[in-house]
Amino acid sequence: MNIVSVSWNNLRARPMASFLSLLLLTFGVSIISLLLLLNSQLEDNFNKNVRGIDMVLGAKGSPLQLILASVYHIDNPTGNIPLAEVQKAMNNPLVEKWIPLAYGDNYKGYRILGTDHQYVDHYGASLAEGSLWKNNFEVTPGALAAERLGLKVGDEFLGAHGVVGELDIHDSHAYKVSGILQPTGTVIDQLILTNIASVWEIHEEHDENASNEPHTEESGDITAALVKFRTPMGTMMIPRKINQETSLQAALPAIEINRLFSLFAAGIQTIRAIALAIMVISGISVFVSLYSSLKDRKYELALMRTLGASRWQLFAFVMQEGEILALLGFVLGIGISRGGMLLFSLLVESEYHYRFDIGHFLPEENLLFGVTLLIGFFAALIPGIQAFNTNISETLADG
Amino acid sequence: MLSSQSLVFSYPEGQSFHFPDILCEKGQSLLVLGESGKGKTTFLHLLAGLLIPQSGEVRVGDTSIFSLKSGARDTFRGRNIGIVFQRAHFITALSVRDNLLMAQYLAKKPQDPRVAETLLNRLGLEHKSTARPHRLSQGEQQRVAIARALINHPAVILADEPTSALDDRNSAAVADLLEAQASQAGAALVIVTHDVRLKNRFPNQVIL
Repeated sequence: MNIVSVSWNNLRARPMASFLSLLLLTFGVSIISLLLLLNSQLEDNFNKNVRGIDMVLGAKGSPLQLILASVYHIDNPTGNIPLAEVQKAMNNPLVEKWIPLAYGDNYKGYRILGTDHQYVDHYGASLAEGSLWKNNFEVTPGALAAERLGLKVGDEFLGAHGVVGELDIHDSHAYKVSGILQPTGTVIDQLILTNIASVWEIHEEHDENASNEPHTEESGDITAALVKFRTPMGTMMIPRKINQETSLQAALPAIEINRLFSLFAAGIQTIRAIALAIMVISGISVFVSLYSSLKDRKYELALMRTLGASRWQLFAFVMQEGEILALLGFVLGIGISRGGMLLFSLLVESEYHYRFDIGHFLPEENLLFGVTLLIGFFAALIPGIQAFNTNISETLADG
Repeated sequence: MLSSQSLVFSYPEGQSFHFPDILCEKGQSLLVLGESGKGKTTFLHLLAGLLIPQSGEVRVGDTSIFSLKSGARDTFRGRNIGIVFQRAHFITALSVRDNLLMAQYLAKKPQDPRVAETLLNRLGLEHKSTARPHRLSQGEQQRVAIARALINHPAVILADEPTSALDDRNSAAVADLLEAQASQAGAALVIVTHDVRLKNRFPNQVIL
């Protein structure tokens, strides 16, 4: 029997008020924590995948769409561009390397991407088994794609036309798995890689029922190119030159992603403000609950003083009830945010094949913990001071 | 041993009391009688150190309780003075047994459920151990309050109108119980009351 168990029993003795306070606290904490997680995971994923890519070349259109399609593989490509023109534009001493990308098909929703071995090196992927693609129609899937599709070295499968969908199957050529990559935690995990010639060849026989979907139809076209410059000078000079002088579009991932995040930011900030307001309201609810229960417990507090409790003990006793609620609210809130993130992750993974890491505790959540305890503290402060100042003699005489 | 010397207390509203000196030895009982408005409860609160007098002294054993600091006086009270009030009050969220253990805890003594159970047995309350206090009858509640006052083996037991809310039968029972338990524990018992039923029961009396 100690003061903590009395606090606990007191909270249980008025379940409705405690439940309301706890509900609001949990709600506020879980929303904020979920936002923090989401934000950090998105930024993490976006930054990880854009590393080392200074510029993306593609067909004219929305630069953001071009970046999303060719760096993150979550949007449709803007169109096709002639390889020859890309080669001409890339013939510049400021260019360190460039990687061609050609979209054509998908296999059960996983994109088949024509590229060269530089792409594998760029994401630092190594082989788990087998070898990289060499001949036409040899493919090397990333770890996640292989796992989800159940692909093993030597397996053969037919691709479907376009970046999504399974209606229009190319049955003339089967792809053959030459090797499988190790997981890297980047976009390469969810792709099926092959050479560009395969993408060209498969579509040459396909021209009669060509659709409007952007994919590499004709030999000599690619969808996009990822470019790395030798110096920052390249970023300053080349994109403008390309956009003005060629039919190509040059987009800068850093700028487009910043723009995307600033679009998010307004929304995230609004939700965060609402969640904070909920937490403050929960603080008020804790205050009201403690304050009104204190009236009923005035005699109880005086009694505890006669039994040997000091003023400070009574103060701590009341504060503790606020903090127990705060602590519970935080733990439940964090639990719910992890659960929510897990759901979100499952959803996003099946839709976009992105994987989220939900295990770790963010540094911002330490701050959130502090704020939650502070709310508990201030909610209990006035009732606590009242308990401290209880006039025992007067209270007992009135009893 | 409990003694008081020339206690004077006045309320801010101007009401002022001069209390007679008292002395109550170990195992003895003292009845303090007084009409309403004579400051009976004030006197008891002074003896318990719940109020600070303008002047005068209260000694429990060798300790002058007003020379102690506030926190030390609270602990001293918890350990050495058991108090029984007119209407028994409890920590409502706790069971009868836990209320007794709480008294040990707040007095900074080791919690011993065996002591609590023995005491409840002695007062015929063994079957109420896990009940919530407010479920008990008034007589039972007063007995639990006595058990709580006794649990830390105090040197002094103070009772404020312990019988006035009870019927004749319970009143006599509670008075007997208080006296018997106090003398068995070797504690000085001071009862403050206007209940005339107790007048003939305690030979040592002081009238306010």
